[in-house]
Amino acid sequence: MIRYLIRRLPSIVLVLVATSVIAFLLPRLVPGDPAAAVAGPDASPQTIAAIRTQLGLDKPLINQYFHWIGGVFTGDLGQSLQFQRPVSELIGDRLGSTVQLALLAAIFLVIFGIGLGILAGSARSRWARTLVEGTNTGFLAAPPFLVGLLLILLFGVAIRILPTSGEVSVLDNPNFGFQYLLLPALALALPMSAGVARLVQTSMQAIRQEDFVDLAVAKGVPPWRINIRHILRNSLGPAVVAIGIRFGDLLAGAVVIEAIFARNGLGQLAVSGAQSNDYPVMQVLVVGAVFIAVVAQLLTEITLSALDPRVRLG
Amino acid sequence: MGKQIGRGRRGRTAVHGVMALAMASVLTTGCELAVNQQGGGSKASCQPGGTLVAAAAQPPIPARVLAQGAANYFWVRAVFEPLLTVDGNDVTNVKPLLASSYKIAPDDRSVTLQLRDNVTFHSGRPFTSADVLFTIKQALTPTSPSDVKSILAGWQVEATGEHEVTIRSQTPLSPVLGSTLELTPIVDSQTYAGVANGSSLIGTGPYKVASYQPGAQMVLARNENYWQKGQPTLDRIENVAIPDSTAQLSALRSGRAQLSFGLTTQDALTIAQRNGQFEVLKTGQTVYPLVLETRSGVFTNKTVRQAIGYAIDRKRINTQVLGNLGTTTGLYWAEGTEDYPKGLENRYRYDPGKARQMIKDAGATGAAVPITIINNPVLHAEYEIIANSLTAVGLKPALIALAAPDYQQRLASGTGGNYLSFRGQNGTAPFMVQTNADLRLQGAHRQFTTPQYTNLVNQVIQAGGGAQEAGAVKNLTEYMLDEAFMQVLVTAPGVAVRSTSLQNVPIALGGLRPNESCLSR
Repeated sequence: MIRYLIRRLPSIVLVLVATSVIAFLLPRLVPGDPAAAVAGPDASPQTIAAIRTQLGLDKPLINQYFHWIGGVFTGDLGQSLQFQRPVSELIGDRLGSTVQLALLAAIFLVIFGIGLGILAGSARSRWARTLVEGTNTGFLAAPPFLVGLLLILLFGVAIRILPTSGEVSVLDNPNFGFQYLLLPALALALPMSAGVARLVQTSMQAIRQEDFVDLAVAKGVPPWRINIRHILRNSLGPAVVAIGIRFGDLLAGAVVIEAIFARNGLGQLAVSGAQSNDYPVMQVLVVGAVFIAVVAQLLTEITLSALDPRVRLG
Repeated sequence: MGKQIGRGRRGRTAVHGVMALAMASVLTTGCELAVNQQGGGSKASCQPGGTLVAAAAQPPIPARVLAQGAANYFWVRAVFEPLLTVDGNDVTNVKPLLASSYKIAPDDRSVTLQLRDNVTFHSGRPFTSADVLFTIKQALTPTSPSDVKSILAGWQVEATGEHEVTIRSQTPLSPVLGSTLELTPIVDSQTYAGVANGSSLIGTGPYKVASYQPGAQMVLARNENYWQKGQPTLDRIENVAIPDSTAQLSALRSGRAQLSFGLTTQDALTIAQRNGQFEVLKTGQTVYPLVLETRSGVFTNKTVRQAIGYAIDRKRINTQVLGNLGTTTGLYWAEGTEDYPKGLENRYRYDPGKARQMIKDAGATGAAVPITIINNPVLHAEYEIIANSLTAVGLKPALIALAAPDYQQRLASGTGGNYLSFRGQNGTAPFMVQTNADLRLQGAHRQFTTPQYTNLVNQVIQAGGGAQEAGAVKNLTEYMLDEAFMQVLVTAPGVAVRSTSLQNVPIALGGLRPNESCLSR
């Protein structure tokens, strides 16, 4: 595996360098002057010009890029134009919130995705399968923000048992932290789990037709063992790939879910950065998101090879 | 085989572990519900102590302490206090705050302010006249966002004693003194370097900054050494940024927040009308003008500009967008001020037939009218009604909706074209013509400028109160209405929503002054 990782290293570096250039240029192609946003709605052209100079935005782009990338290699991710604080500090303040949300959502994604997939893909009565497939289809059709709003109405207004606004860190207070996380994590995970479930279901139905399953049935292997050992294990490959891809979607979905549930995570920072043309914040978040996607892809390939001995890393 | 069995056992163990963890979480969760920790309250008698949670659509921006703005509305006057304070809903109501008294000279060109000698900064350092000089110097730096720079630039400020300051000006002071000083809160010279990034927010106010998470929230704690004995009432104020309107409503309904700022007027009215636990709080008057591009395009023709005045259904904007809380007089100035030009209201009454004929006579039928707005639900809704009105009289409106950095850059550089804006009605006419970006002479966002306009504005600035000022404002207003380079559509209050459990919430021009705000339990 180490040889595999070393072989992938050059392409990873290339992707990250290309991403850094794109992440640097893209926000600057968006019309608007961050100095105008800092100066405020009534500012005069003179004030805006003075702020632009103060923020170093009047320097040539190439200088700004190398100044930023040079800082990144020394651990300085830059300074937020809007908040005038180090970007690393802003991200550090919010990382815990988003990681907690993404992790719980990922756990729910695996549990509901594979669970619903097994239920729908197992040999069951018609009504049970219809019920499971109906649930699945409902989740497939509902985007996370809609599920979030429905959960707020249900558990925040109709039956007020869970908090729908704000956050408490799980590390500070596990009990309250978990309660604050529950609804946003479910809103994020449920719609995505439907896609995973559909893949598991389809794959299980296809594997069920294989000769080795008939052989196991003929040998009198108990049905649960056939389902778990023979069918499910061989059906998980596509689901693992989908979960790997969906992990990136979890971070993207967190932008909306954080807004609805008033959580101050990285998603909110990204939105605020984009709205005020806060270049340094946007640059780091884009490069960070690509880095996470690359790592998720690597982990997916490693997991696949562990599940299926026929898959070789390389 | 044995290896496979071992892996199977490990797998089952892992599954059981996850199930146990989940069950433990549920059981732990069952012990105490987080929703029970959130507030609620009722309209009962006020109690000292408690925590106010105020939700704002924008996060606090400490770099803009010396400017007026929605981002700092809930916290800045709790931490930083000005020499004089002005009521946000009545700009003629000026009271001393850090100044104990002030005396304006008979020629209205100088004022002497006596400063309170029992005021200390949160750091413990006594407040003196040197701090006033330092604050005004900071407000005048090129990068300062101060809204009142143009007025401060014409002042000579001198410390005439440890607790006495004298201000001299080339232009009359009384019409502008209150608003200018209200919007220049006193900062601490020793820690001011930390204000821009929020690392050191030291003022003289009733609350100290206990913690600040940039872009997210600011927590204020009671200042035990506050100079006004018995104040403040609350122990703690949490200013949380909740940009999403749905989330703000959720925060109010769930009892998490007792105050919310940033909802549209219609949303605010809806929650207040449907739920007896909430009331609308007016946060100062705002003017909504349509400023026209007079250098090129169809509005180089004055007749077409005037036709726009008759074409737009202002009352519909007031009713459908601003909850019928506003007025549609068509004047920029604050009603109730001495210089308000009574008799000039409603020069342009809604008359689409007349507008259509004027546009036809000017040969402008079918002309394109691009209108620039900042992405904002109120301005979007306002634009829809304007577009409807303009289409009805034979023009072709087009929307250019921009993000804040683009909108503000275009307006400041004079390339905004026809634009919709909203500005605080934060002073008398002489104050507004010097500070308001739509009206002022230097660095204006408005494109229209003529020697006559400059002359009339200067007359307003130089008039100095009384009949002379009223006459100058009347002359300027008549000229503005005749030239019609901007159409004031509605003047309406900004709105916040407060829980009825929150009482005593006075609003100053610079923001909420929560000295005596309290919660009932």
